[in-house]
Amino acid sequence: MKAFLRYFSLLILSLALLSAWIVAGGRADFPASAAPTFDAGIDMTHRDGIDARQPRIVLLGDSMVEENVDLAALSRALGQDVYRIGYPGSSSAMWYLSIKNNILQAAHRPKAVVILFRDSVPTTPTYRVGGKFNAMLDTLAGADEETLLQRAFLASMNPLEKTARQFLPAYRLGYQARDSVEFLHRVAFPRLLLHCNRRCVDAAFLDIFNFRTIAPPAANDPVAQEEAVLYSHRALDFSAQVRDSFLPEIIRLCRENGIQLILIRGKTISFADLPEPRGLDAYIFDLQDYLTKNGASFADLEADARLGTGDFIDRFHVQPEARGTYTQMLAEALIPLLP
Amino acid sequence: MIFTSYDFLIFFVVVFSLYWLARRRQWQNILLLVASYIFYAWVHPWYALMLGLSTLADYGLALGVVRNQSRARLFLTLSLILNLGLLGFFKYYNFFSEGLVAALTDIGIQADALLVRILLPAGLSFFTLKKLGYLIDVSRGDLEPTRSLLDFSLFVAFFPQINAGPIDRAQKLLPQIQSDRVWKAENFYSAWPLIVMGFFKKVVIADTIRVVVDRVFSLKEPTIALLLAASLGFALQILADFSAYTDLARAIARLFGFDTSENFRSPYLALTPTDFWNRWHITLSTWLRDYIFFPLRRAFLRAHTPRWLTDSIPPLVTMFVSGLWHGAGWTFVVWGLAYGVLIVLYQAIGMGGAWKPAHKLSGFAAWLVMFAFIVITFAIFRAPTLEWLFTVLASGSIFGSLDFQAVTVVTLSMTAFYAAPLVVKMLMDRTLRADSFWHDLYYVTATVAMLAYLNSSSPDFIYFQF
Repeated sequence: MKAFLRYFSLLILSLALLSAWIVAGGRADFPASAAPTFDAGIDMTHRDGIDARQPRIVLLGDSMVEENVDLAALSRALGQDVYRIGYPGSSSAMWYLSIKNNILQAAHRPKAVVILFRDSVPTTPTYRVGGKFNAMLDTLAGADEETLLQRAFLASMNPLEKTARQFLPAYRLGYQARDSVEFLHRVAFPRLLLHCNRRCVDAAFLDIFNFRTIAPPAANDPVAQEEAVLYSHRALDFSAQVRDSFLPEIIRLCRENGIQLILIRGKTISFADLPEPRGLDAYIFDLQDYLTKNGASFADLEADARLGTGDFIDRFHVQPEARGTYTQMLAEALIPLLP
Repeated sequence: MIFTSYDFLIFFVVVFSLYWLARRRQWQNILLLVASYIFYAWVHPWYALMLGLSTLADYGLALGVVRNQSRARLFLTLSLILNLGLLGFFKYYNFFSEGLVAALTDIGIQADALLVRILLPAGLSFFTLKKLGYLIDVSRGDLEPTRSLLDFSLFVAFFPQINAGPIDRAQKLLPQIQSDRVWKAENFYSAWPLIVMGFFKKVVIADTIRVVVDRVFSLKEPTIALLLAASLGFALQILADFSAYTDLARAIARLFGFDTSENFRSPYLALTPTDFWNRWHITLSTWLRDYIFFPLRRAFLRAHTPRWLTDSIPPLVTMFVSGLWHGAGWTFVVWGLAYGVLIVLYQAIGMGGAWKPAHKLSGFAAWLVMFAFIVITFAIFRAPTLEWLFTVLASGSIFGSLDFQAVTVVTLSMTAFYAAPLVVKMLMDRTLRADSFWHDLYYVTATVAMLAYLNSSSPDFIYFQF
């Protein structure tokens, strides 16, 4: 009993001192908001790009947009100028911000926004918003992003987590402690042993860990673990998920600004050697129905047999020589849907 | 439901409160059984049905063994078929189905339907061994079977243990299930250090080092140095992850008034392979020892087979089974066999189970060699495939470009950093009293670190998949 009381007293004292140090140093508010905070700065690169290029179509998505699509060939096939916005690893939260804070801020209005997606990403607002993705969101988020905070963060937090984030600065700023420790590993030893500074280490990580260096199928295991959330019973229940997702907002923003929204389910080989998760078919059916009812369009490339497993580097990205086919498939799907 | 999740916290608070309010043993056991089935059915409700039916069958078979001695062997065989059949089907179906479909296709039979993936029910490998041990002990006359279906069902499904052990024997757990339990503050005082360490090891160490380890083992061609660095990281990850689970499982059991077995005793300080298995996943290795190794060795001795066969076949078979138990894949089989070979070789050079170093230097050398074996064998265990491992070893460069060297250094640095708290704890346990101030300070630091690292989406414990 004595040991526990001593531990507990020490713990309370340590947390109080740590909190005081964090709050007094201006590192966090007390009590703080449970949601993360973003600075007011917004990266306007793509707003400026749209104004400079004046495209009729904006193609938006994750690394599939970057790696699988030959932009020049797509523009030629559609007979319309296409502007590409691809954020590797991004998800619906990032696409929502991109439309709201970049595309709609441009003086030029594109006729259509095409989102290339996979699985249940359009209605899983909490997917890929934490950790490094939080920093990615910060590049496009302003200081006041109520919808983003509510749907991507607060809605999924349990009461304990909310309380800890509000009243325990050590918990709230934990990621900074992790970053500091990681900084030590990334900087101190490589510099000492290899004369490799932080930029050199960052470049090394990017060179060594990318989808081209990852071995199928083994490499897909860790990816698959992270992706499991997209195939959960809850995530595939479209009607339960859609209301609190970014999709209604994305549709509303596009509709109010006279932009045709088109969602294209990209071709992947996620289920080439596995059965499709139960419920995914129904999810896609419900998604298509919802989009149609709300004036948006939908096309599905998943079942297109022109690309097989041999054409892919990993589950989502095609070999360079298969980009032409992928682009052709995308163009064929888009032509009947474009305004 | 995993122990570090919010769902589990709510579940635990409800069950814990009702349990101690119930007071009467019968009600407590009913509550624990219901809670265990809810816990088990949380993700896949149908698997709870399978657990229930197989428990019912084993309960009947165990009673049959005692009541009808002439058919005891038949009942035991039925239980073996049932348990190993279920385990084999769920665990190895995916492993064999592809080969089977290819073979059928070769002879003109389309059987693509067989390629459907079967999901292994969590904990099946663990509770199967529990039930098998029970049946074997009953058939040997070492254990009187319980007449109570409730008690037996709770022994099998006891929720702190069902997903990843410890694989406690009926002799240890059943008497506790059948005894009255009253709340004692001691339950909590012995549980809280395990809870702190369990969370700390899982959240701070295992989940952090996992990220870099997973990345390296998913590369097409890492260098040999990077592979070894990641294997070292994996050795840390699996120890932290699995011992964290065991700590939490033991702590939860204690809060319900149960004393369960420990699974780890500083396994990386082992001097020989036998020593390692006496310290690593202890409840599994003692199970394998008692139900496979000893019977096999006795059979060889009775058959007067040559000494070298008696000394080599039982450890090889036992470790082969251990490898197979861990997973359906050649990496696990080779990993198990590698330990079998090591045990045989160590015995051959006089470093068997009872070996003690003559002086500190030989002890250090033995530790160094054994630790190297542990890390290398974990490279086999964690490798995605054997082909991948051979390719890396045969054609990969040792250090590679500066990029690879930088990643190797970062991996080693992270492994050393996150291993340090475990080394410090081990030294403290050896040199300081358990109730010393320094221990409290350690637990406070661990708790604050855990708060800083806590992530609401903690990945499942590694051993769930076995």
